[in-house]
Amino acid sequence: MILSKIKCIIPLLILLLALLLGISIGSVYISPLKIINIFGNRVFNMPLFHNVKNSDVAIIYYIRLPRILLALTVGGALAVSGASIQSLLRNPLASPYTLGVSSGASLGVALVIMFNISSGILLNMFLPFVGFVSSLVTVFLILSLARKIDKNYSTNTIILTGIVSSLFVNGLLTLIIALSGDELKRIIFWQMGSLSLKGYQHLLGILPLIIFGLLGIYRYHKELDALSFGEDSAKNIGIDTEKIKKRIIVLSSILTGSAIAVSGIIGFIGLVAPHIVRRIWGYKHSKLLPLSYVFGGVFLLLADLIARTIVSPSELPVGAITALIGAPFFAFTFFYKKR
Amino acid sequence: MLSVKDVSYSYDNKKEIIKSISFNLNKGEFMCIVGPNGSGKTTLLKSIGKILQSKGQIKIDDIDLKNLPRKEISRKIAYFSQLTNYINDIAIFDTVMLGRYPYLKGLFSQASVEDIIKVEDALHKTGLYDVRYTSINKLSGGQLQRVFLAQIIAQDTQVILLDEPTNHLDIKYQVELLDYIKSYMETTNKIVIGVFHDLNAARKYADKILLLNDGKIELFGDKKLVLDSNEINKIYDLNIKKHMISSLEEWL
Repeated sequence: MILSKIKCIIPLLILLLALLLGISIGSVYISPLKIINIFGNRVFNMPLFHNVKNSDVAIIYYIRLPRILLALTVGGALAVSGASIQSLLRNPLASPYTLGVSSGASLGVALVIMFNISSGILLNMFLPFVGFVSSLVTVFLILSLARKIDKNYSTNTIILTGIVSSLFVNGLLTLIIALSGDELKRIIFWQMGSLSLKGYQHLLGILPLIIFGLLGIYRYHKELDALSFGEDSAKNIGIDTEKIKKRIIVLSSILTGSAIAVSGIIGFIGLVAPHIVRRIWGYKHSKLLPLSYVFGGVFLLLADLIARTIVSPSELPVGAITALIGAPFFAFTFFYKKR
Repeated sequence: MLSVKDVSYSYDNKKEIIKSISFNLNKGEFMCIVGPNGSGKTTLLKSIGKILQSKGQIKIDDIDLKNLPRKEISRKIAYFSQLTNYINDIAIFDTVMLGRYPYLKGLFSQASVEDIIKVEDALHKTGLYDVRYTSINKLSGGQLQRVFLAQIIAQDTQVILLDEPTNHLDIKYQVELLDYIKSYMETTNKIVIGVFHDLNAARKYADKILLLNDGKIELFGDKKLVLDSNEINKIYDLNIKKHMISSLEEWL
């Protein structure tokens, strides 16, 4: 009983701790006490300590907070869509990337960068928008191709179609990169993933889509429980498997598509976070989905913390950090049980 | 009553796996589908359960399943599938509760008192009540089959379809499971259709047998009539009865 209570509190504690770390550490260190004071001032009109500078307040509100909230949003969305696709395809190594979301987004963004298409006012939001749309278009194309091959949408067909199409799209992408000149660096940097120079407008831009995707997937938590046992078993208890599968794929593509639209490609969060949650809190989706969100968010927040501090004042691409930490960690947890 | 009329199925509109299958079963009847490998036994079972979208007509108590929503079909007919690979590790209770899914109404709906009573009843009947919070990954193959049997009991349908339910079970569990199914259906007047490789089990537990060969009904009727027939010997290319008796004599 006590153990299960501790199990419930741990994610919250981890989340709070990560938030505090993320806000306090950076080029300027701001102590946790000051942070609490600054938030207390905003929420309860607490007087500010005399040693709190105006610049501290500005750093928190305009630099660190938006970035941290964005990390939580993007990381969480990647983790939830990873968790749902893994259950759907009954494969712990699957993710929306398997279905071509990332290669689709990359291709769209690369085209925009290469042809320098941008529309004045929307400049900041234009790339994310293109990334989002092209990732969804790719998924729809892959799904309709899978449907042509196999009208029952079997999971193997979906996985294979996704992988083959992703490779094809990646081929196109390589071609574009080879043909591009000065834009090369921008395209590659986008693909590496980064949260730098992103602010509230990015967060607000994707938030409606993320909330829609999260609620949409959570609505199907029982169906995901059933689908994890296989399609026949799910169909037997009354689930319209073809319809639900399509919806879950689209919803998780919306999540991943909008997340990577602002952050660029960030790997391994969709694999690692759900995996940890399954190992500790079990496979029931009513818990798995929200907890994956928390752990995915925290993972990206911490990885971003490393990315922006370790070689400061310059920054590393956070996608490299998540892969460098995520890959060995995933391998360890994945094989640990099997020994 | 279950009425199956002219049911055919083909994958991708090519060769038909089962062809114009028709038969009727009354309440309380246990039918086994037997036939050689590749004769279409599982395809027939999945077609009856509407797991596969087949041509033809399937009626339960004069209601055509064709135009019913999936959930409503699942309130009338349950399909016990062969276990495929799965990634899951939820508690036994939650797994059995999935059997009540067809009765849930609306979004985010929670289990009703009736759902919980039915699930607890199914857990008692299958002897799983005391271990109901154990996660299913800790179970042996036999126990897992029992969990899914409990799910189907909780589903509470008129017709139950069993696809090789004793696969992977040792002989003790085989006997236990089939004895249990037989007594359960006799007390509840359910219709049960099972696919069995084991002709001994078919002979012991079934009332009727449907002999399938190359997707067509070769013979359908009382179990003795089918199992003692020349047709079955011809299809299996073996004198079944003689073989069974001689192998039993080895035990004497």
